[in-house]
Amino acid sequence: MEIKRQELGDKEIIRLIGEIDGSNVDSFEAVMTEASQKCSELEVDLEKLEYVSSAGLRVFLITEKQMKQDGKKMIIKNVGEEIMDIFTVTGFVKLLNIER
Amino acid sequence: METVETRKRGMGIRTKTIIMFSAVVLSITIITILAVRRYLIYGMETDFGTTTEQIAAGVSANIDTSALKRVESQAVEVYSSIPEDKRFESSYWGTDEWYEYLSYFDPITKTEDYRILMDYMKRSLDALDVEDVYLGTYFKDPDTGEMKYMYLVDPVEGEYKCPIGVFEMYIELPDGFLAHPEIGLDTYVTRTDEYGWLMTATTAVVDRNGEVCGFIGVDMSMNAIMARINSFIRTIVILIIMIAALFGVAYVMVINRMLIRPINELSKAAADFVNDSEKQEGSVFARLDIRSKDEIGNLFSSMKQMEDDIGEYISNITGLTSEKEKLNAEMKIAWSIQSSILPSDFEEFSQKNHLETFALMTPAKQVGGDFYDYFNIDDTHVGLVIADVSGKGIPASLFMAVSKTALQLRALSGGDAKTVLSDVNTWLCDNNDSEQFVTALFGILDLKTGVMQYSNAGHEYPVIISGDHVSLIQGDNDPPLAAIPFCAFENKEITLSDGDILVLYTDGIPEAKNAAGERFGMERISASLKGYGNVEARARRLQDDVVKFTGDVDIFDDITLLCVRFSEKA
Repeated sequence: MEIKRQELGDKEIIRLIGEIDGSNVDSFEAVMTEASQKCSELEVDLEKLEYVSSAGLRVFLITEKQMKQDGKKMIIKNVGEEIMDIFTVTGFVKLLNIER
Repeated sequence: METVETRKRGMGIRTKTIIMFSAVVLSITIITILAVRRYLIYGMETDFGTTTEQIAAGVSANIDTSALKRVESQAVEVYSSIPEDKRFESSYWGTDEWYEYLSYFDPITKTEDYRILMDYMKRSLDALDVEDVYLGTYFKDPDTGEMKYMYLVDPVEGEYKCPIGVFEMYIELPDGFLAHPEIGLDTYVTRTDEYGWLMTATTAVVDRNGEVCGFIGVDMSMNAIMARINSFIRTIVILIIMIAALFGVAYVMVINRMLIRPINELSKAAADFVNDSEKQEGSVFARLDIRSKDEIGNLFSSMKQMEDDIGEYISNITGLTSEKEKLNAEMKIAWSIQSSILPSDFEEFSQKNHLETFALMTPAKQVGGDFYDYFNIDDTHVGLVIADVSGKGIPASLFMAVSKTALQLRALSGGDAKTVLSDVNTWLCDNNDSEQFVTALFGILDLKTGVMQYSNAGHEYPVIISGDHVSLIQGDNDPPLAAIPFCAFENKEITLSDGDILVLYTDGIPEAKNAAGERFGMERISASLKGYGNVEARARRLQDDVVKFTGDVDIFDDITLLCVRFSEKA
C-alpha cells in the first residue's frame, strides 16, 4: 500500500494506492489520525485502491466518527467498482460520505 | 553494543622484533664461528705447510738420487709387466689379490739400492717429529694413460706401512712441473679414520742435472692442533647456547608476564562467568586487574563488554521468554474458552430440528474474531448467526464473546430480525470504547415453511445451494453492529426448498489470498460447494480448498462457516 498526501490549505487530500489489510493497517491508521486532526476537510481518493479489509474499514469508521464529532468532514472520492462492492456488502455506503 | 576501542597492537610488533633480532644474531654468530674456524685452520695450514715443505726439502737434499732413479724405473717396469687385470689399487688394501699384486715387487726390495734408500728414510723418520716421511713417484699408466702415484720406500712399521707398488689414482701434476719442479706442490689437510688430521706436503727430488727422479712425502699429524681449535669452537658454541637459553628463559618470563598470566586469568574468569553467572551478575571480568595496552588489553575490554552485553541480553530474553510463554498459555486458554462458547452439538441439534447443521471456525491467530451460532428460539424457529468482529486476536475475541452473548440473549426474548440487530447494536455501541465493529447476519428460520427472515449488518451475502445450482443472495446491507448508534436495520427474506443448503461464511474465505496475490473469490466458493456430500463434507471441502489455494502463504483471516440443509419433513 502507498499513501500520497497533498495539503491544500485547510483541506487535505489522501490518495490510497494498492491494498489495505491487517499487515499495513497500522500505518494507514496513523496517517488518517494525523490528517483528521490537522485539517478541517479530508478528501480520500480511492481511485487506485484495490482492496480494503475489515481492519481498514475500521479506520474509515473511526476517522469518520472522530471528524463528525469535531465538526469536520471526510469525503470519499473516486471509489472503484471493487471497493464499492466492499462498501455495499459491509453497509459502509450508509456510514461514509461517498461522492460518486 | 558499544564498539571496543582498538588500542596499539604492541605485542605483535614486540614478538616480531624479538624473532627477527634472534634470527639476525644467530646468523651472525654462526657466520662468525665458521669464519674463525676457517681462519684458524688456514693459519695452521700455512705454518705447518712451510714446516713440512722445509722437512721434505731437507730430506731430499741428502738422498741418493741415482739409487732412487733405479728403484723408480724398476718399479714402473714391474708395474707395466703385470697384466692389467692383476693390478689392484690401494682400495683393495689387505685383500688376497692385493697381496698377490704386491708380490710382483718383492725382487726390488731385495736390491742394494732399495736397502740404501730404506736405511736413509728410516734414519730421517727417527730424527724428525713427523708421522711419516716416504718416497714415491708419479707415473703415467702405460695402458690407460691415467696419472698415478706409487709408493716406493715407506719406512714406517706396522699396519699403515705402504709397501712398494701400492698405488692410487692421483691429481695430475701442474703443467710444466717436471721442467720446473721448484714451483712446488700444494700442501693439503686430510682427515681419515686411520690417521686423524694429517697435513701432507710433497716435494720433488731433483738430481744434479735438475731432473726429477721421485717425490718425498711428509705426513704431519695435526690432531693436537685440531683438537685445540675444535675445543675452542666447542667452548664458544656452548657459551652461545647458554646465552641463547638465558635469552629464551627471559623471553618466556616476559611472555608469561605479558600473555600467559592475563590469559589464564581471563580463561578462569570465563569459567567463573559460566558457573557463577546466576550468582554474581556482570562482575566476573570487571574484577580482573589487567592494564596491558596491547592485544590482551583489547581482549580484556572485549570480554568485559561481552559480559555486560550478555547480562543484558539474558535479562531481556528471560523476561521475553517467560512473558511469551505466559502469553501463549493464556492464548490457549482463551481459545478453549472461545471454542467452548461456540456450539458444537451438531448431531443433537440436527436430529432435534430435522435440520442438518454443521459449522467450523479456524482462527488465523490463536484466538479469532469470527463466530457462528445456532439455537432454538422456539420449537419451530431456529436462530442462525454468522459474524465477524473487526480485528483479530485477544481484543477481537473478547468483543466476539460479548457480541455473541448479547445476540443470543436478545434473540431468545423474541422479536423480528431487524429489531434484534437494532437492539444489540444500541447495546454494543454503548459498550464500545475500542471502536470495534461487528459484521453480522442474523436469521430466524421457520422449520415448517423454510422461510428465513434475516437482517444483514454489513456481512457477506448468504449462499444457497439448490441442487447443482449455487446462488449468492445479494441485497442492500445495513452498517455493521457497534459502528453507529441508532442505526436502522431492514428485514429480508429467503425461502429454502426441500434439500436446499444455506451457507453462511465470513470474508476469510472469499478474500483468502495466494502467493500470486489472487483472492479465492465467489467462483471458487461455488465450485467447492457444488457436487455431492452432506453439509459437513461440503464445509470441509471448502475449507480444504481454501488452505490448498493459499499454499505457503499464511492465512491472514479467520475462516468460519455455518451450513444448514433444510428438509420439509420437519
